[in-house]
Amino acid sequence: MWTWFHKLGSPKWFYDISGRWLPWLVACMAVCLVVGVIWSLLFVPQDYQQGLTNRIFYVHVPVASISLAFFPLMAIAGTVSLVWKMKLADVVVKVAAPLGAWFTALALASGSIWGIDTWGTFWVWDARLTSLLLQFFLLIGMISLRSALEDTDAAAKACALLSIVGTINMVVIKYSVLWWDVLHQPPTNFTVDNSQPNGPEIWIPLVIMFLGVYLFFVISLILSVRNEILRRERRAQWVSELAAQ
Amino acid sequence: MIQFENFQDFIAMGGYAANVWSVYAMFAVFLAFNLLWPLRKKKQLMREIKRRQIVNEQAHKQAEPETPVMQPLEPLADAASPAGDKS
Repeated sequence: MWTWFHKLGSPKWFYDISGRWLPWLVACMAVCLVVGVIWSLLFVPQDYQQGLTNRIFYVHVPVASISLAFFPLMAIAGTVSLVWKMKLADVVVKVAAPLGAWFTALALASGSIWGIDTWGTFWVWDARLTSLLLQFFLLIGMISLRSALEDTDAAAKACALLSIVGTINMVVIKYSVLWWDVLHQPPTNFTVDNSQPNGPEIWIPLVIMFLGVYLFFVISLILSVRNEILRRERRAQWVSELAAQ
Repeated sequence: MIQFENFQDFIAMGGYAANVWSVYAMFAVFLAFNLLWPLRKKKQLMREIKRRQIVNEQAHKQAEPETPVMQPLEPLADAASPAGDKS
């Protein structure tokens, strides 16, 4: 188990293995996203109240819920980098922040546009929306903190700590719709039977979009991790050989 | 089952065209940017590493003929020994 752990910490090993996975991941992502987008735009029946704005659901929900994965991810990677000084873990903490900011921004923007007609307003300062906005600012803070600290080790420590502390906010975002009386709806209960509301014809395309967006998240993260590895290891023999090809 | 009778209906999105299409357009930009940007950055990085390699190699070649010139410096190392102590 420990050899595996050490291998995972080796940037070169990760670079090699991720290079082999990428084509397969990209193929799966492309299939899921194409099927998911076509299905959600063309085939999903319209909502009895919202009409065709329910199409926004298929972008907003996967993006927003995956945006909540960033702080736990960075907190775990940050802990690993603090405790074991694993190089690769800090690389993950670093590159996850900008991608997380993108996810959070799209979740906020798509939610606002959805709200214009369904809620009659694009913004309210309720707990869900405010805590998600806070997550966006925390991620921007994380990026600035990293660029403000020139010493890589100091930046790694500071960002690891901030990501661990910031995870509290993620818990608030997740349960805000249950703890407080908010405008945002609580989680939807999906049913297996099509005659019930929210049956398979509603959630199957959602599952496909979820898979597609998750794969996109993994692929984009891997691409950035690989770049950061190349940047940090640019004086290593294997990187020189790679560049010389 | 397709929910639209014709292409115009599909574009109109039941009166929510602006909302639905702007969200899907942002989604497309979001996907494209976060996949293409790292690829572009990788190309830049590789070019930079390659350029530095060439610069290093040239510096190495130029440094080689100078080594004999550096040799006379060696006797100076003796001067560093505490000669003054003898007197």
